[in-house]
Amino acid sequence: MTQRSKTERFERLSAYLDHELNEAQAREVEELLSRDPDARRELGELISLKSLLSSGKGIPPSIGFWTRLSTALDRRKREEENLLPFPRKYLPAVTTVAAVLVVALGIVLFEQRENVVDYVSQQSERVQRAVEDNVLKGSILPLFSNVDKNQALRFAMFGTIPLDAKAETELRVDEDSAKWVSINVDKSGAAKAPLVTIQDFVDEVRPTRIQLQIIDSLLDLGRHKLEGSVFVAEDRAMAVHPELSRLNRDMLSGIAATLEPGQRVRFNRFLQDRKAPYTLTGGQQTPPSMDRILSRLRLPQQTDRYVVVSPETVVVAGLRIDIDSVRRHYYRVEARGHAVSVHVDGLIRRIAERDVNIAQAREFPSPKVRVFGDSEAFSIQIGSGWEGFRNPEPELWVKPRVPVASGIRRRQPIPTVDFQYSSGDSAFYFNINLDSIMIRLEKDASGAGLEFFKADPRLRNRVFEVNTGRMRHVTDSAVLAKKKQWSKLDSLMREMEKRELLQEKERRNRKTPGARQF
Amino acid sequence: MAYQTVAQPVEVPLQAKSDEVLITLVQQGEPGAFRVLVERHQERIRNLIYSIFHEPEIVDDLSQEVFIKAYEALPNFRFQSSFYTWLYRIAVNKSRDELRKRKVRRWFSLQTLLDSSDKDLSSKIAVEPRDNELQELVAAGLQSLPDKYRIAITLKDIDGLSYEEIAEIMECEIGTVKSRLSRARAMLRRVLEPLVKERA
Repeated sequence: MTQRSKTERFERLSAYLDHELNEAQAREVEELLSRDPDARRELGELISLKSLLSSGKGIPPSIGFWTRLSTALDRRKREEENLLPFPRKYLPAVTTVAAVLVVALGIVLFEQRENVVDYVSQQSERVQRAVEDNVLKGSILPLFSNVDKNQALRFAMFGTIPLDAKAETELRVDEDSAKWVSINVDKSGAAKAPLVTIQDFVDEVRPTRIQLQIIDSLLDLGRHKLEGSVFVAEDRAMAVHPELSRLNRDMLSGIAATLEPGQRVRFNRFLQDRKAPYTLTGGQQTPPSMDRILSRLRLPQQTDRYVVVSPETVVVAGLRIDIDSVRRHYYRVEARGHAVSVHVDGLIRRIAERDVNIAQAREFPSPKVRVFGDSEAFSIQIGSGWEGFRNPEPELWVKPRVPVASGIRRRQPIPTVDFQYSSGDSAFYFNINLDSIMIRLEKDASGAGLEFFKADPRLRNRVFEVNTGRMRHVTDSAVLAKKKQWSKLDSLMREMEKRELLQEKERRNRKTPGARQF
Repeated sequence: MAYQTVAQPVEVPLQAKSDEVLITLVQQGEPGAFRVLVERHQERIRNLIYSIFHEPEIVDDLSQEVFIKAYEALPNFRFQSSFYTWLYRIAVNKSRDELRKRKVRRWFSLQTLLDSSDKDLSSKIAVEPRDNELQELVAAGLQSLPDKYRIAITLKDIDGLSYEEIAEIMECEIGTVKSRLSRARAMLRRVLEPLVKERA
C-alpha cells in the first residue's frame, strides 16, 4: 500500500469515527474494516486517542469572572467617553456637522487646487529630504521581540542572547578591556552559555517573595530595554543602542543589590557554577541604590543615539524610533523571524565583502566606536567614555570574573583579491574574498576582460573605526552607484556560469561520441 | 359573585431565556442580559482557551478579551449563525492573535525544545504514567501540534463540535477541516503512541 493510499484510508477512518461520512462512504469503510485487520487496528487507536482527549479535566471555574469583566467593560466605556470632547448623546449631530464640513472643505480645496498642489509639492520635498537623511531605510523591525524572563536572566548572567532557534547565531556582549565593551553578532555561535531559568535561581539563591518581586521587575525592565536596543532595517542595516553594551551588567548589579549578604554568597556560587563571566564584589561597599539601577534600565528615548551599521558604512545617529509602533508592525509581518534572520546574515556577509572599501574611504583619528568585520561575525566596540552614555561612572558592584580574550573569534584572514573589469570604455574595480567562486572565476579569467592583482596588505586587517564628529550619512547616490557596480558583477558571474555549463556540455559530448549520431 | 379572571403576564427570568432572546435584549439595552450570556458560555470559552494554550494564568485574561469583543460586536449580530459558534470564532481568532505574537519567542527558543519534544515525551510515556500525569502528557502532546491542527482537534474531540461548525469557526472549507483533523490525529497518535496502543 502506498503512503498516499495509507493517508487517504486514515482520513476516511477519521471522518468515519466522527460520523461525518455519507451512507455509501460509511458502508465502504465498514466493508474495509471487516476484511482488513490493519484498518481495524487503526480505528481502535483513533477511538483510544479520542477518548484520551475527551477525558481531560477542564480548568476549574473562575470565581468573580463577571465582576472582573464588568469592571473592564466599564473602564473601556469610560475611556471611550473620555476620548470624545463632548457628551456622547451629541455624537450623531456632531458626525453630521463634521460630514458637512468635510464636503465644504472639499469644495474649497477643489477651487484652490493650484495653490494646494504647490503647497503639497513643497512639503513633499521636505519629507523627501527627511527620508534621505534617515539612515535606516525601509521597514524597521526589532531584532528581539517577546524576550521572556528566563532569556533576560540568561542575558544578565552571560551577556548572550540567541538570534535563531538552534542558537547558531547569537548576540554577545563582551568586556574586552576597561576601555572597550564589544557587542558581537556571531554566526557560528562559538561558546554556548548554559540554559538558566528563574526557577534555578530561586532554588539556589532562595530570595524572599518581596526580593523576587523586585528581581522580576528588574528582569522585566531589562527585557524591554533589550527589545528596544537592536533594530534591523530592510536595507540590511542594524541599529544598536550603545547602552546595550552594559545592560547585562546593570541587570546583574540590580539583582545583586536586592539580595542580603548570605544570599549574595549563594548568588556568587550560582554564577561561578555556571561559569558566568562575572563575579560579585559587594564586600564592604554600599550597594547602589535601587533608583539608580532602575533609572539605567529605563527604555531608550525616542531620539536616543544609536550606532547604525550598514553594508556601506557605520554612523552614530539620533534615531526617532517609536518602539511600540515598530513592535506592532513587527507582529503584522508574516514570517518575521525568518526575515530578521536573513537580514542579520545578509549584513554579516556584506560587511565581510565590503569592509575594506569602507576602511579605504574614511579616516578616523579619535575613535569612540569601532567595528570589526569578518565573514561569520561582526563586532561593534564602544569606548567607555562615549558621549552617548547617560551614566558614565563605572559600576563596581559586579565585575568581570575572567577577562574575555577577544570580541570576535580569531581566525585566519580570508585571502582577498582585487580585480579590474573592463567593459568598453569603462573599468570597474572590485575587492572580493577569494572564496570558491572567485577561485573558479580566476581560473577562467583569461579573455573575460578581468585582470587580477594582489590586495593591498594594509587593508587586510579588516578594521575600520568611526569618529562621531566626522561622520556623514550614506546618500542615495552612493548606494545607487554601488548597486550598479554589483549588478555588473552579477551579470558577469552569470555569463561565466553559462560559459562553464556550455563547456561542460561539450566535454560530456566528446566523452560519449555515440550520442552525437542521434 | 362572579370573578373575572385576568391573565397575568408571567415574568420569565433572564436565565431561562434563549441566547437569541438575550441577544435581542442586549441590542435593546437590557443591562442584565449580557451577564446571563457570559455566565452561560464563560466556562466553554475558558476551557477552549485552556485546551489551546494549557496555561491557566492566561485563560481569564484572554476570555475577558473575547467577551469584551463580543459585547462591542453584539449590536451588529445578525443571527446568521448560532451565538456560541460566533463566540467560538472570536475566541479562536483571539487565540490565533496571541499565538502569532508568541511566534517570535517560539522561533528563538521553543523550536529547539520542540525538536526534542517527541523524544522526551516518548521516554516519559515509556514509564507507566499516573492518572494526574496522563493529562499532562496528553496536553504536552497537543501543545506539540501546529496551531491550526491543535485548534481543529480541540474543537472536535474536546468540544464535540461538528465539521460544519468547525469550518465556520475556523473560516475554512469542510474538506480542510477533515484533512486537518486527520493530520492532527496522525501526528498525535505518533507522539502518544505507547498510550494509544495500550488503550486500543
